[in-house]
Amino acid sequence: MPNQRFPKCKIVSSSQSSLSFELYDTDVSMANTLRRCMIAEVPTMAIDLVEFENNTSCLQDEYIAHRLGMIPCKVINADFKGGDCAEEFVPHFECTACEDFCDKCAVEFTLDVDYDVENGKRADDEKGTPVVVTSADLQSKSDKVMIASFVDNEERESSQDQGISIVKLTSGQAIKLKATARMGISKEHAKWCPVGVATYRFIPEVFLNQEQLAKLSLDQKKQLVDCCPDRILTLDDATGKIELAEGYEDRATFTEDLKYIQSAMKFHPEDEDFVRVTQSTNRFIFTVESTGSMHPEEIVKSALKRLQLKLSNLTEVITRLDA
Amino acid sequence: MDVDHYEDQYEEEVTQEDSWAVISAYFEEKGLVRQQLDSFDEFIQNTMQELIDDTGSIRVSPNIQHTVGYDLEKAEENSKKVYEVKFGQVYLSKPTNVEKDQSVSNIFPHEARLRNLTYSAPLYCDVTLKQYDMTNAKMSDLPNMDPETTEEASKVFMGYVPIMLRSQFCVLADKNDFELCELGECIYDQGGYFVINGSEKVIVASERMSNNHVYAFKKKQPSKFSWVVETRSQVENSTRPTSTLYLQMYQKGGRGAIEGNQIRTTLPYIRTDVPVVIVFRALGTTDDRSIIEHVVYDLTDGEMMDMFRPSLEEAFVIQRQDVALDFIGRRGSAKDVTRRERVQYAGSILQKEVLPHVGTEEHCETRKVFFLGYAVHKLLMCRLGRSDEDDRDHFGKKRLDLAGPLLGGLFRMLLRKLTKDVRSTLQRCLDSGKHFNIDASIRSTYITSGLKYSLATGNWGDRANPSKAGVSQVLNRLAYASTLSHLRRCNTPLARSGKQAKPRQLHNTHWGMVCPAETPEGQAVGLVKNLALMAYISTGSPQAPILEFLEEFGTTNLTELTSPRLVADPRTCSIFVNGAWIGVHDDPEKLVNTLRASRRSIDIDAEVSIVRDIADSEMRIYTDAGRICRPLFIVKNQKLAIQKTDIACLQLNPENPDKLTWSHLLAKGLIEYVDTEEEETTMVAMDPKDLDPSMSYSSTYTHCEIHPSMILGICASIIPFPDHNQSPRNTYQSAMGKQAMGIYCSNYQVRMDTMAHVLHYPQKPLVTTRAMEFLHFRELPSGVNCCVAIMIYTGYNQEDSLIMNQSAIDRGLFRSSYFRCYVDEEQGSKAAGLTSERFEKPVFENTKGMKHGDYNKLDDDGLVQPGTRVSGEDILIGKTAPVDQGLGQPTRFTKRDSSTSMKATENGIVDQVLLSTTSDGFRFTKVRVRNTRIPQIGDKFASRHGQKGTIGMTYRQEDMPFTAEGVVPDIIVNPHAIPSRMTIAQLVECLLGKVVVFQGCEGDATPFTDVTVDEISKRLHSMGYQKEGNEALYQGHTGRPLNSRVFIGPTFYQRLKHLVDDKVHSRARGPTAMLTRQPLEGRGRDGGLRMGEMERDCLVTHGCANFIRDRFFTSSDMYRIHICETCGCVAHQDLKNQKLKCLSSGCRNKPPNVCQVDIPYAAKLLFQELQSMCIQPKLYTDTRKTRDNKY
Repeated sequence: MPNQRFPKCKIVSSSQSSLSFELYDTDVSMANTLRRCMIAEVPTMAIDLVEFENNTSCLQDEYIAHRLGMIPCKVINADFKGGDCAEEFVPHFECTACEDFCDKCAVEFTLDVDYDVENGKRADDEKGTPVVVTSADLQSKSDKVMIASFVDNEERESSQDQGISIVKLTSGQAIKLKATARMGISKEHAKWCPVGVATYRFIPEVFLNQEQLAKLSLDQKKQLVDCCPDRILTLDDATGKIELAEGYEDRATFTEDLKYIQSAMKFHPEDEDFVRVTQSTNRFIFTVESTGSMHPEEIVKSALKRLQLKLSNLTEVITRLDA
Repeated sequence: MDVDHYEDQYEEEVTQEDSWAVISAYFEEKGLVRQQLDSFDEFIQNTMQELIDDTGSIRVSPNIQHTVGYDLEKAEENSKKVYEVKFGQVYLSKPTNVEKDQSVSNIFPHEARLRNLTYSAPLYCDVTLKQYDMTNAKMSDLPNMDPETTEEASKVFMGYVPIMLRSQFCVLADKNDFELCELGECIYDQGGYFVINGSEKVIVASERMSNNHVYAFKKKQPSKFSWVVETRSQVENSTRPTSTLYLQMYQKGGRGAIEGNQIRTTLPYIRTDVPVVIVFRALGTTDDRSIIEHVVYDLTDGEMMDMFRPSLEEAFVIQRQDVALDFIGRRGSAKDVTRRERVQYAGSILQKEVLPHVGTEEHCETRKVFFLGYAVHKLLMCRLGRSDEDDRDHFGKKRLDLAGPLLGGLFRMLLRKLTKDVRSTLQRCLDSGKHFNIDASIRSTYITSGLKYSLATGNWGDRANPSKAGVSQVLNRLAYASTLSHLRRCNTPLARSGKQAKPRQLHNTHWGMVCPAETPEGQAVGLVKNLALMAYISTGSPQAPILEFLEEFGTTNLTELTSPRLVADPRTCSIFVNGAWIGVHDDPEKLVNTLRASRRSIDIDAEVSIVRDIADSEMRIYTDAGRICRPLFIVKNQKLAIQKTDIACLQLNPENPDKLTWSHLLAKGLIEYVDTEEEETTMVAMDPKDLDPSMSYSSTYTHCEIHPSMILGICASIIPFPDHNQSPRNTYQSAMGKQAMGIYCSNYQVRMDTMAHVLHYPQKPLVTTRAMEFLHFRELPSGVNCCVAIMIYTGYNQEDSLIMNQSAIDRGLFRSSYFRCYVDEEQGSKAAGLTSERFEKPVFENTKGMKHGDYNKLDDDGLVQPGTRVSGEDILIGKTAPVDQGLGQPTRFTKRDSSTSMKATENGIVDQVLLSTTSDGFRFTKVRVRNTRIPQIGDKFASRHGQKGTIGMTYRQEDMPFTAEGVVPDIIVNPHAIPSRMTIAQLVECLLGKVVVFQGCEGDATPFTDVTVDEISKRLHSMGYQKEGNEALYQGHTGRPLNSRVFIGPTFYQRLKHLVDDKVHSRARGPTAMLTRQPLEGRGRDGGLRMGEMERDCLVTHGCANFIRDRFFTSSDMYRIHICETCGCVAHQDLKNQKLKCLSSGCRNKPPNVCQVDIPYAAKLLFQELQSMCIQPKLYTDTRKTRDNKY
């Protein structure tokens, strides 16, 4: 294969809900493919069918059904991290085992909250206030899939809520339903999207022309430094020299203010730039934040797997064409 | 509060920020529809009783009857008796409803809305019947006589009066939020409307010229007259229509050889114009000198005397009063009468009909002479160029008729009808010697149905010839702001077609009274206005206390004036009260100050306006209803009268005894209402800062604006930074805000509106104005804060379309519910002997005329069940009507179907079904169908700056451009939408929104404040973002950086009610019109798309004849007939014998020679119509024969 590249990846930071890594030795097409795959191609579980038995709440059935759909569902794998659901399930339209849905392609949840029952259980000082039905009230019928009420443990601990609010109930209101989660991808509906944020930024390449910069007055230097809202430059007070600020790589926003302001400072229009900020073409910093349905690392892995699958499908088709 | 701190505060100046405390106090006390409520309360509490008192008594004596067996002697004795019916005190009870079974119960507005009832209260009146013996008395003695018998009936039922919601007589008046919820009301609902037959009706204020004012207008040439002075005279609270007096100055020369410049006047009932000097003489001022004194005042004014001379000379021949009266009388309507009668007739016209507002009792002549003199003086002044023409569009000379005066007029008319009816009943009873029963003779239907009819239809006045149409309108419930705006609307009854621009233009005097932005576009532009936020309409107060005060304060009454020449003295000041000249005063300065002071301490009504016109040395006082006022801070000694401590007290807890309210501010003289006319005599500072001695004019200010943003109305107050927009854009947004979906009221779930849109996830805007607080826009918002990028992307947002993020739509962005209500009731059968209609599930076996739809979704009771999914033409309400089976035709049908089906183009889920009874006791149902509307290509959206557009494309998140932070826009608008429209405010809103979203607060976009774009930019810069809000974006499909930076940030967008789903329409075949057999028009009827003249012209130019034939003929109304080729007539088609023959006399017995032709059905109709008027059109297929004239 000519011009074959060997992209590499370096994890910058990782947590239960977000991941930051650097992708290098490749170009923007690869980076964007990965981003797009993470957003649109990674399969997850989400509530897709809702059967209402009773709904006397203030919200309509469709409204609640839509809200349920938006709640992230987590597939629990060996290390309880929220793994790739493709390992456990098949998409319902591919399921050959059943007519409607079965354990292979769907998971059932139930929700049954009655204000009067709930209110009776509560402490006296809370009695009479509305009961908030949350995602924590959704009971899973399978031990493989659970509701991800919180993105991570930290949120769980700091939150005042029990989970994601679905509807508030007041006296005389009750809600009882059966919800079926199915596997799908975000291309079909955004509820199957595993990420909140999946994006990358270009590493900035900054060239400081110290020779030119030396010609500037201190005021002008200050102006140069201040015009960048991302504060990628600093002015060394002692030496009066403009230097790159610490951690500038993570902050650069590539505003054009710098360009405009220095063109006004130039003695001749054809003079060289004092500072030039360009976007690198082969280094990208990715940020992936999970909705809670999958561990961010799993998202990246699953996205790559999907990509591989697509490519192998493509090769297969092409070879068939040749034949 | 410790003392030091207290003093510190005292020292501090009141700033513009503090005025918001004052404004809050205003809205807390008054709400937003105070003018409606006050006006209605005034009607109920005073006007109604006054009108009843004004009716006077009905006096009737029995007529002598000449029938057999009639006791003539007794009758004769009886005829001397006078019976008098008199109406006394009126009472209004709580709103009630009477059911079919006559049971009476209290009714609440919500029930009235649901059950299509009228929210009205019964009106009762004390009535007395007195009998007098007139044998030895005259009619004029009657008031002092003792009646022989007196019969009193207390609280006789007069009829039902519809009650305005939240007025003092409404059950909701003193309810708190919790109680309102329990009653099914919206806690933010302001009332101010009526519920008539279940629909909410607003009385829209109507604008008119003020009465009793002397206007001078220059006549447009060519005309007989050079100047005209007119006065629409009407007595305070009078029944009578206005009597307008015109004084006209003639042009010089002309064919009549009259000298020119003479002044003549029109008089009511007098056919020709009368020289004005003759009128003076007829009023008793006969000698020239005193006439001149009354007109010119200053006898040294030679110029004016010269100008008046032609008028005097014209009347030279008539010098005596009786001659003058005779002169007038001769020109009256009466014919063949004696001179004495003529004189008397003229006298009574002058007394009763001319200038009635000055006085209609005897001996008013002096004052009438003065007033007439004043009018002539004004005319001469104008003619001499010393004063200008009056401005017709001056808002100070306009009055707004609100619910009170309009209902008052209606009530007066209905009362007259009722009393007329009572009189005839009484007469009939007396003549026939029957007992007169008071209760039975007062028919309540006059008032009940009269008021209900006018409110329900908007036709004001008599059912037969309504004087005005469109007075009451169905309350707009699309968005909360549109409801509020509708309740503050004001209409100018002027021909919409009139091209005249003047009355439509914004006038200087509209400042602070009507909104400069909010007016419809098109025919009604400028004629339909909306009140500014703090505008208040006076309800009218009695003028007697003012007159008394003036009397006490040394006003010289006109009748006591020694010489009219005193008026010319610049020190004396003429005093007018409600347009009538009361007298003169020689120290107007002191008088004005005292009057103002007593108004500021509420000794005289706060809404009285006191205008001192120094230039004309006049003082005008107005107490009438319908003046538009607004509150202003009072400035004393170059300082606001209101202090920082007052502001602090305003903000106290309501329980605190020191708490100040709006009415306290009025009573303390810190604020006063100033009407448009008085405003002209004030000097108003725009900002408290302007009072600083260093500012120019600072010493001259008498008032200070509370806040300049209060000049805007409801809809314009929602616009952020309207002062940064091109003005038409604010007007467009004011119109569009009314179509925005949101939550139109908090009780929408229990309401059964015919149509309603509710937004699923409404948000309060990030960028707000202070006025929104009072409009409850944060509580009931109508839009969503979207991340908007202004950029070009893929080309699917050209020409005002937008690209929307499909993933955001999936997540619920701009999702909304659409509710539609279907109503039906079991109507009683008109034919006798038949039962009424019935709700039931119709069956094919015995029901004829059944529809296409699906009847299977009906329950046995004939109604659908909530939760059923319905679509297409499914039947929602099954109903059958019995069929008259007379005529001896045996059929299997006993019923006819009259079910209600869904609109063919809609679908949804049955949300709620209501089953109740009407006031007539018939069963009645409302079925509400709900439907979720997800944004899709073609749906309409708008920002708050008149920037509307439809979705041109939706892209999923991965295809949208993104920033390095992963931010993806929800909406992408095209940058071409900005430069030509100059909606800078949208950019500022976006920029401030971006700042605010990172700071976690609300952005203040109130107009006329000190916020600058520069300052916002700095804030954004300091947060690490590019200061102008531009960001580097990456192309979603390729991931490459875009070349230019993109302006991106949160902007509040509204979803408008125009959705493609309600508009998509196509048709191949379908229904045709019965008569013409051409396709129907309109989506609702599944009609075709019209191929009009212009489309035809286009086809003609292309020469595609066959296509034209297809569109206009084959696909339209093609029809086949047979014609006889011999005679050209339509041939007969004998289907039974399968034969074609011509029946015309010439061909009857000949072998048929028939051919078939295609003609438009319309042509066939034409032929038939021609035949009906004895013209026989003939059709020949062979042209040669016609050419050779073979027939």
